[in-house]
Amino acid sequence: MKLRDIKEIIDAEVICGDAKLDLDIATACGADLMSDVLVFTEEKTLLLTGLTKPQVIRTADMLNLAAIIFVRGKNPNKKTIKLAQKNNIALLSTDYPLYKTCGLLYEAGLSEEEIKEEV
Amino acid sequence: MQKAGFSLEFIEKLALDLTIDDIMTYDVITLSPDHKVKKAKEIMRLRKISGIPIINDNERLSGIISIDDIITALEDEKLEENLDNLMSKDLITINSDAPITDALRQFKKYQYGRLPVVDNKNILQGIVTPGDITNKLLEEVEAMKLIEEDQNDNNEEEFQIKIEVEGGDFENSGQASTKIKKLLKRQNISPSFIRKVVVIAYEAEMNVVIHANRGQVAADITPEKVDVVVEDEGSGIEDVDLAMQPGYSTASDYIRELGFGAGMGLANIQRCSDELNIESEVGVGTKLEATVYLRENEK
Repeated sequence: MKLRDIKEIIDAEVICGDAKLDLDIATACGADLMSDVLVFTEEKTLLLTGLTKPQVIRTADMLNLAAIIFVRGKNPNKKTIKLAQKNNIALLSTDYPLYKTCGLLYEAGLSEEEIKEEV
Repeated sequence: MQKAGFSLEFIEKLALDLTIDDIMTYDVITLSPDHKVKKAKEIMRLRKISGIPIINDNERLSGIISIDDIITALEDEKLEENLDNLMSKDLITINSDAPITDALRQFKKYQYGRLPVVDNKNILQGIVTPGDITNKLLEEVEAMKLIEEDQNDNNEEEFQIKIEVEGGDFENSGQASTKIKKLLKRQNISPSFIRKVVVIAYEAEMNVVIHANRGQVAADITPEKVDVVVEDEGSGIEDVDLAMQPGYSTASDYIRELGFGAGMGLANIQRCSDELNIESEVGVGTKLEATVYLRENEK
């Protein structure tokens, strides 16, 4: 599924990273705890989160995550956006809450990422 | 030997390319003019900051209170008074798109410890200190140095890197791990291996930032394995076995707001390590040593 399709499904706005809309997204995960995010291992994973601090971008960058969607209409501050631009991570924002955003994407066929015990 | 990249011209060019926006602290604690002086004193003590901007109801900057003002207030026994009576109102501010050289000039001229950053409507955007500028310049120079070193020793397969980490510095947390990641990426090793090392370094670095006063994140990289050693001076861990348990945490609410402090850090580190050793002494500090071996299929 392309990031562009995901944007349509969850009615999201692009905050930065327009150029990355044609990126293929294989899996997604939803988490507000950065240590929970660090468990994920696939590079083409999309992160759905309600947290908008710069630490989210740093965490995504550590794992080479492709894009981040902020849920419940949350918008990151300038510092977070700048950090994302610097690290080439696309940021989107949707008004739907986390549960519904995940549900819509799951229904559309975007699979979850299986957590492997051995990374 | 003078390296080409480290001339005075290089530093000057760097300073011109950077704007206040690139270096300022965005998440600034503010108070209002009717707060008591003692409240400012407590915040400065707890958060280890040396000045707090005061904003009015319209979010416009109306003053600033510094450690110096607090000392005066202590001498004159004015801790119960409103900030309005003590704060400096004659303010030198700077715009967020100004070059950092402008800030350097202001710091030199006025000897202030910080400058509030405002937009055209005098609404507070952040704060900038001489330390922010020094850190950013050092960081840029260091990044250049890493690249140059790497270019010089291209054939060398073994190398070490050691990066200092400041406790409580959430603005820059994760930078040491980012550097280690960049170095590993230049080697021809699999992303899954890099990820294990980076998760260990990042979680351990966050632990230093969250719990310690200061520390170092070091990586020793060889063709067979990577050793990550993270040492800190801080409160130490009372019961290492207990701390290793998933979900055990002593982090504050502020840390949790950042998405950390759920007690999963050490569990994540263990999951990614082939060997892990943690030594800790209460009131002294903690040393974490993790080793990840490069498997045949990851080479």
